[in-house]
Order: sequence, then C-alpha cells, then structure tokens
Amino acid sequence: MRLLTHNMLSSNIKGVSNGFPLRLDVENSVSKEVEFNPDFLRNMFSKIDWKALVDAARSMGYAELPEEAPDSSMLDSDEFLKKFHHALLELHLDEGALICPETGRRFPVNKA
Amino acid sequence: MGSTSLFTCEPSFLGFQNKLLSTTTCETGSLIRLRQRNPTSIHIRQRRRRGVMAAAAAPGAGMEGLKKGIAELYDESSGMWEDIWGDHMHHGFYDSNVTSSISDHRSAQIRMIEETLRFAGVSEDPIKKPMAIVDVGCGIGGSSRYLARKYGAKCQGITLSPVQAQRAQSLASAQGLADKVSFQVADALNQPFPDGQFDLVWSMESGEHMPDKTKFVSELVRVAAPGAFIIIVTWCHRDLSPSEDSLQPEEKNLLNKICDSYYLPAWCSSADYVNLLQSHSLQDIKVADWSEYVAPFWPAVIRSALTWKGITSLLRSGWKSIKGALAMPLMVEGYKKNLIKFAIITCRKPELIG
Repeated sequence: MRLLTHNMLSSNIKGVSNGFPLRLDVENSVSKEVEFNPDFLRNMFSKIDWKALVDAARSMGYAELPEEAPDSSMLDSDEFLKKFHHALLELHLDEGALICPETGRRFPVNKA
Repeated sequence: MGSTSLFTCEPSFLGFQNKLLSTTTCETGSLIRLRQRNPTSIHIRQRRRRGVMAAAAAPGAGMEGLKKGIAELYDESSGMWEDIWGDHMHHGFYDSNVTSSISDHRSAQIRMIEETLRFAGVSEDPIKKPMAIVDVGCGIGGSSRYLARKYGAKCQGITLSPVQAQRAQSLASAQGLADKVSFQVADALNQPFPDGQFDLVWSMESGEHMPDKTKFVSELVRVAAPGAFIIIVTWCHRDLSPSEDSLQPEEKNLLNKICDSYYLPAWCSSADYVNLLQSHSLQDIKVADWSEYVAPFWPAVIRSALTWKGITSLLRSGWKSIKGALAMPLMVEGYKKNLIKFAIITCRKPELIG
C-alpha cells in the first residue's frame, strides 16, 4: 500500500469520532521505483494531509520530508518534489497493519 | 484478528481511491472509509480534477479538443456508417465465429440490445418496465428508437454530434416516434437533465469517449431515479493483475494509436467501472466480458469498408473517417491479444426506503 492510499483512509468504526490518520505498524516495507510525474504531484498536493504523510513516511523509515506543510512555492522545487514523490508513491507497506487511532483495532495488510 | 486484510494493489489512478474504498468495504465491512476532506480542499479538488483524472488529455484545452474531435468524427462518418450498417452504431452479439452477411449483422446488433437488457434484468412487466429512458451517446438514435418502441417508453438521447442529433430526430419523425423520442446535442459529463429523471440509463458503446470516467459515472447515477437500471456497455482494456501498476508499454502503445484515430481518451478497465459504481453505493452490480460474443464484428466492418460502396463512402466522408477505418485492424489486434475487452457493467440505484 502506498502512502498516497494511506493518506486517504480513515477508520469508520462505529463510535469513533476521529479515525484519521490510521497508525502504521510496519513489518515489511519496500521501495518501488515509480516514474516521476511533477504535474501529478502538484495536483495531488492539495488533497494530501501533510502531517499524516510526514508521520507515515517516518514510520516507514523516511525522514526527509519537511515537518512544516510547504507553501506553494515549494511545489516548483524539483528537490522537494522528488522527496514528495518518493514518500507518496514509492514507499510501499507490504506487510503490517493499519491501526485505528482511537480503538487500536488492527487492519492487517499483506501482499494480495 | 487476521480474518480481514486489505489489498495492496492499486491498478490505475483512474478511480484508485474508489478501488481502495470498494476493496476495503468488501473486506472489512465498512470499517474503513475515505477520510472527509475539509471544504477548501474539496473545492480545489474539483477545479483540478480534470488534470488528475483525464490521464491522456491535458486539462481544459485537451478536453475541448477531444469533444470537438468526437463531434467532427461523427458528423463526418455517421452518414457513411448508416448507409452500410444501418442505424445501430454498436457491436453485434454473435454465437460463434461464423462469417455473416450484413443482414445477419444487423440482427446481431438488435440481439446485442436484447442480451444487454436480459443481462441487466430489465423487466418487460407492464408495471416494472422502464418508462423514461436516457440514451447517453445516442448516435443516430438506434437504441433510443428501439427501446421506446419495445417498452412504449419516452426516450431522450444525447450526443456531441449535431449531424447525428438531427439525423436521429428525422428518423424518429419518419418512424412516427417524434412524440416519444427526442435528441439533443449535449455533453455526457454534464447532462442537461434534473436529478433522478430516468428509470433506465443506457450507455451503449459511448463510455470509451468519456475523458473523465468518474464524472461520466457520476452523471449516469445522478440522472437515475431510485430503482433505476444503469447499463454501460463499453470497450475497456483488460483488468490489471494485483502485481501490476499499469499496462505493458506495447499494450499502451497499441491503445494510444487507436485513441488517436477514434478520439478516445485514456482507456480504463471494467474493474475501474465497477469500483466507480461501488463508490456510489449502487446495488446488484454485474460485470461480464463479452469479447468472445463480438469477435466477428470488426473483421466484418473491415470487409464492408473494402467493398466498392465502402471505399467510395470513405473517400466521400473525409480524412477522419479514413483514419478511423485504417485503425480497424488495430482493434482486431487488440482483441486478439486480450488487451481490449468488450465489457458490460450493469447495476441498479437503490429504491428509496419508506
């Protein structure tokens, strides 16, 4: 599962008031090269919850993203876009779980 | 614990969110959903949506160019097609790979409509049959007139081609159906109808022209009344396997050449359509691969194009038609390689409760 996907998911368990973001338990992660598409990244940027992405990337072992949500000028920086690209699209959670932040319920993730 | 698991595959960006949503709701029983976004980012998302979803076209200018190309292709070639093939502009449904004559093809095209209705489960019962139909991408109105006659229903058709809309209307008048069927030039991505107007939403081989599949499906759902049937019959590429992110380069190459000649935007798979429909909480979603039942069609079209009548008509019609004709062997190649699929996807909008 890419972090792009993780960024879109929220726990829908009954009674939970804030199910986002799901915490990551990383047993097996991998990096798969993906063609760099800056236009796609720029379009996706506004839809991404930045803090969730930074935290998720860190739990996958990637700490290169800036803590602070970048402003739009950063979207012109190739260097930033490459880091964003790597975290969003190339890091994959192969085995592990997503965890509801309120209830702790585990949703296992494995290779299909 | 351990009884639920999430797919890690995301085959294509077209509808990827919906793919995830559908698999997670299937597998985990609605325990995971798409997060709510705050209002400002939804607004931005709608503005930028074209750029993300229309993979092959550049946002804005690209879509307009595509629409114009589609309109012109059909303005140019409709007359010729009708001349040789009649008023149905879709594949025929065949039993096996037999060489058929043109009249066999015309009845195969009728059979396609009937098999489609049967697959979807549309009833002929006087109480349950459809009374208000929309034909999305109606061509010269073959389906509209057929369905109106079959059910005694009212049918409205939309097409991007002014020539087709006009021809469709003339044929309707000539056949005494002017009070039952009407046609207009309109964009399927922005249907000129209020919500919930139709109890049968029919898209017969028009989906492949839609640059924004998400919007296309949203509109089909929007104009459907509670309890309505939504029927999509369209060309797709094969479903991707879980380990694949996209089609192979040679496959993409072949599709790009076809896109070019037929004014098609990027292709999607039938799984993508299923995911989009699931995201609208539609019921009774059925999908099938009918590629084997349409196999004789393209070779027959090619043969018809190579007749004297075919060649002269093509020359009279214009360059777009000729280009389209030259691309036909590519369609045959696509089918043979199991890359191109002829898919039917049907579902129902839930009835209102209480």
